[in-house]
Amino acid sequence: MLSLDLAPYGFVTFALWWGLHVLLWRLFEPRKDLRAALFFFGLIPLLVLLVTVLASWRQSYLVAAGLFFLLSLNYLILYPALQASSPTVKILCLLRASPKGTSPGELISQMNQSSLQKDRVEDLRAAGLIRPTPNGWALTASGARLSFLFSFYRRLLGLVEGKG
Amino acid sequence: MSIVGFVTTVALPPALAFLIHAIIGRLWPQNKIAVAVVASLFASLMTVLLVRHGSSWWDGATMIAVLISLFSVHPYFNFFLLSETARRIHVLRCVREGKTLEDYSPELVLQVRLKRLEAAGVVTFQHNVLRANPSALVLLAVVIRALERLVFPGRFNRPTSHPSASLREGADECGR
Repeated sequence: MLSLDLAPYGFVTFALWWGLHVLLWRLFEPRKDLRAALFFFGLIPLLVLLVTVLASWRQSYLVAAGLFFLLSLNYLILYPALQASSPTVKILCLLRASPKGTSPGELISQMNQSSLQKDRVEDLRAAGLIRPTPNGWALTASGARLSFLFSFYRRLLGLVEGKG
Repeated sequence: MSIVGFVTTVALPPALAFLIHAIIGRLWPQNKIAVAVVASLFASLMTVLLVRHGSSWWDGATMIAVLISLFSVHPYFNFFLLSETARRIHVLRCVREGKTLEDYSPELVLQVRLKRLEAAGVVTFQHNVLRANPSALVLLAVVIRALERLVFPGRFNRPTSHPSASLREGADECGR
C-alpha cells in the first residue's frame, strides 16, 4: 500500500518549482520559451516520477511525485494560453473592464492585431513547424506530424477540425 | 491506496474521457465544449468509483483519488480545447490545406471567439453592445491574465500610444 502522508509534498514541490519558473522567466524570459516550459514542466517532473517508480526506496514518495507530475502537466497545458496572450482572455478582461459594454468594432480596435495572428505564425516559424516558400508557407515534417495528430484526433471524435 | 490503484487513477481518466467523448460527442455534436466537460468529469468519477475502497467519500485516500483523477483528466480536456480553439493549430491546418493566412484574419479570430462566448452565454450582444456576464469563465480569464502579468511582466510595461489605451489598461488592470 502507498502512504498518503507525503502527498502534501507534491503540492509544496510544485509550488516551489512554479515559483522558480516565475523567477527564471522574469529574469531571463527564454527565447524558445515553449520548449523551455516543456523541459521544465514536462520532462523534469516525468523524470522525477520515473525515478520514484523505479527506485523502490523512494516509493513512499510515489503519490507526492505523481501529484507533482500531474500539477506540472496541468500548468504545461495551460501555458500556451499565457504565452500567446489568449484572445478569449483579453476579450473577457476588456468587457469586464467596461461595465457599460462596448461595440464589436471598438473591441476589435482594442486588441493587439499582431498578437492575434502574425505573432502566432512567427511562433510556428521559430519552432520549426512551418517554413516560408515563394508562395507563402509550407509545413515542415514536425509541423505536418503535429497537424496530422490533431486532425486524426478530431476524426476519431467524429468532429470537423476546430475553427481556431 | 495500492500501486495499481494509483497507476489506474493517473492513467485511466484521460483514456476513459476520450472514449466517452468519442461516443457522446457523436450524439450531441453541436455542444462540443460542454460534451468535453461532461466526458472528462464522468471519466474522473468512474475512475474514483473503481479504485476507492473506503466507506466514506471524505477519507484521505478517496480525496486524493478524486484530486489525482481530476488533475489527470484536465490535460485531456485542455488538449481538446487546443484542437478546438488554438490559433497555431488552425494556422497549421490552413497551411496544410494550402489556404492563405489572409483567410484567417485577426477579425475572423475575434468573430469566432465572440460567437463562441455568446453561444455559451458568457457574453451578451444587444443593440450593438457586447457585455460580459458574471461567470466562472470571466473569473478564470482574470486569473490567467494575472498569471500572464506575473510570468511575462515585460508585455504590460511597454508604452502604448494607441488612442484607446485607457480601455486596454482597463483590461490589464483586470489581471492585477
